Amino acid sequence: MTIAESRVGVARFRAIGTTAVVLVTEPAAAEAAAALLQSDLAALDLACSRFRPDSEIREVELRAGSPVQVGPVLARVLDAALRAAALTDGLVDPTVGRAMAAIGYDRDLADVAPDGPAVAPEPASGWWRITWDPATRQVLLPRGTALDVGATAKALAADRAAARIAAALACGVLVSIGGDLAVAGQLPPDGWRVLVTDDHTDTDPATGQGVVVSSGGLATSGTARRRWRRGGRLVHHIVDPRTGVPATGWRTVSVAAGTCVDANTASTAAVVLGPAAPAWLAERGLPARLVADDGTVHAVAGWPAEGGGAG
Amino acid sequence: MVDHIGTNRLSARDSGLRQVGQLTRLAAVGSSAAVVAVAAVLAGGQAAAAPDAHVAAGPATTGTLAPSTAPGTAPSTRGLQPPATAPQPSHGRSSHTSSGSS
Repeated sequence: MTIAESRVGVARFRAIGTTAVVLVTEPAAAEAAAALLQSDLAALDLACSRFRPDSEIREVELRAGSPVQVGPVLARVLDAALRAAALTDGLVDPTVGRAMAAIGYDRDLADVAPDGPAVAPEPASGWWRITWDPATRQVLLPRGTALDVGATAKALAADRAAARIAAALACGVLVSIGGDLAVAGQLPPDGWRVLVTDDHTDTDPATGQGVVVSSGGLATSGTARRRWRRGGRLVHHIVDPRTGVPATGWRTVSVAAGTCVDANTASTAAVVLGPAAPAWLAERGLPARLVADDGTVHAVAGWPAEGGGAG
Repeated sequence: MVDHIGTNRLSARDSGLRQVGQLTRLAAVGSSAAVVAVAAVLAGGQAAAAPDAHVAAGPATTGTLAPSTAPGTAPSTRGLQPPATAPQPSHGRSSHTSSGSS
């Protein structure tokens, strides 16, 4: 079985180091929808890429210690990233840039050496040390701070693009950026059908679970991709901000929420939390599917069980 | 949608965070002790207990920052919004797209 594209329009393209997909309920609108999404992602990349020397976020880091007024794109991302940090008590922390660099992820993934000597983990410098004034869009970073807002930025872009495309083209929309998705506008007759799996490029239903999403966002965080070795040990891109060590316990966590940003915040926090994640998600009423390192699947807060019922 | 996230969905603690940010920006200008004290109140008393309330100053500021919370000690907030409808089983129908690690 393959990904169904009948009755909806679809466009796929590479952007910001991953795959972007836009689905629309009016097939003729796919090209226009893709153009809108591409323009959003181009602006996002220029504002937030930690690998582009000309990005705005790099400029903010270079000026750490002094207040800097940022543009509206980076302002929205910073606002969302700090909110995510506050709501997770720092389980999701935008100041993990140095922690990521310490384990070898200091350039585009394609350029990260697949193996290398052992590394010394570095905890996040601490989101609470950032001074942020949303009214004036001024940010003050402590010196030495390196930001990584990639996950929040992609989820926020999915939310915004879905809403913008639905309004502009008067159709139903699903925007997926690296597998984190947001829906807006009218639904297809039987909803947006999504295969929840380890790898967002998988299309074989045997690799995951098919669900229907009808509102908000759905995000999956996991350790199945963006992995490399240091000192003979496998490391990946989701680190515990408190220690700088890659999180263990969950292979993937998928969360449904009112927005893609909230879904991504929760899925990332859950991977970091480890064994406490199911209870943490259930307390917040966030339907989630968690796959342990050994392949065991847990469904919480109304996530449908693999056989079709509610978990 | 994002503007909505940034305003209407804010929890009380979020609002406190913003106020702390605004106040601590003022702290860089002057009267930092009083502002830090207010920030501590807004942050539920956590600011004073934070492990590193002061950071190296940059050239354009005296650089006193009031942490909005101490990690791991702040009261739990539940501002993440659940979906209006939980995902439903697709009963084996083919999928439009996939969600997984990227």
